[in-house]
Amino acid sequence: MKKLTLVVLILAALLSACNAQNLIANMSPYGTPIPTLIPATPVAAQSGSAAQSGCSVRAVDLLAAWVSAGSPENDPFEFTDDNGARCQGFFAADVLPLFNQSNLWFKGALSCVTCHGPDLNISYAQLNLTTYADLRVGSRRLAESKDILGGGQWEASKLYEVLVTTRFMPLGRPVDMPEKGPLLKAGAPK
Amino acid sequence: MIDTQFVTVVKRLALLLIVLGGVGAVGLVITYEVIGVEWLSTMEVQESLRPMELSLPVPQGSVPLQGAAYVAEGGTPLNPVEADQVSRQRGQQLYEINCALCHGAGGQGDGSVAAKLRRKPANLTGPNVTGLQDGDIFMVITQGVPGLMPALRENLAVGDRWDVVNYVRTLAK
Repeated sequence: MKKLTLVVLILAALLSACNAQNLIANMSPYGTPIPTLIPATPVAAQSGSAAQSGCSVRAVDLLAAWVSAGSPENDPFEFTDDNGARCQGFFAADVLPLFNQSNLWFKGALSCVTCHGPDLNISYAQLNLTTYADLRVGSRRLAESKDILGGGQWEASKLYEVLVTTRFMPLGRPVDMPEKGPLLKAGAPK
Repeated sequence: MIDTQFVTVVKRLALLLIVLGGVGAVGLVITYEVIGVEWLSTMEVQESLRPMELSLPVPQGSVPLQGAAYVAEGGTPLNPVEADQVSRQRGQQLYEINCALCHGAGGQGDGSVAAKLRRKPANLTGPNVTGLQDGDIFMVITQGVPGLMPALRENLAVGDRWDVVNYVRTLAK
């Protein structure tokens, strides 16, 4: 009798386990499921050989080097990376992302072009940061355009003023954002 | 004989209980009413959050049930949700609930409350929005725009936000 009870109990446990499994398999999450689960500690975006060959530089230092080099579009410009190594970068690959990438200056940051877009009638400061040519033209374009690159003098530029002096930009910057922005992988050793 | 003894024992026990109960009750009344000892009578005594208090910070390394929305400082996130009919349809429903009031049903920035706003809501069919990547729009929905647009990350789950992005993409067509 005891053995029979035991067998019945085990069967019941197995059945209920199967039921629970079916229940979980049939559950559909409300809304669109998320296809990619990002792990809690994501691997570094660039590591291994990429990290060894690339240079690490603060965003503001990179901008400063580009402006000081005369803001070249296609020619390379030199900069000193965070470890003191001489490196060179290019506008399209290294500088433009600072303006058109979201979530780069700090966690959840909006991209600069979100507000400084091509439609000058609604762009803030009538400034368009989407292309090289527009960057060179500057702000307040519906009146008399104002250079934002300080004519090649970084500390005299509008970019320096809003990023370093007043810290007005990037919009919504958290108080704990490093003074010179995030450490980025950019350029290549010279 | 045994019965009488048993009854006596029970009587004594009952008397003892009554006396102890009486003493206990008087003690309780004195401590609670007279001395004012705070007994654990309410849940407020335990560590808890009062109304309007900030909630506890999320522990380091936690991942939301729906998955992390993006990698911090990892650049513009890529759209992981295919812009199929189902996603766009869901996006439209969510858009009409959460966005149309300001941005208008057609996304022209002419919603019913737009006239009351000093800075007009963005025209989602204009070049300033169509020129953005999907991830940029996702980030605006997630974070809002300081001073202009509220963050909708608590209103829309991660997947819902991508659905809205997929729908917003169809507005300009």
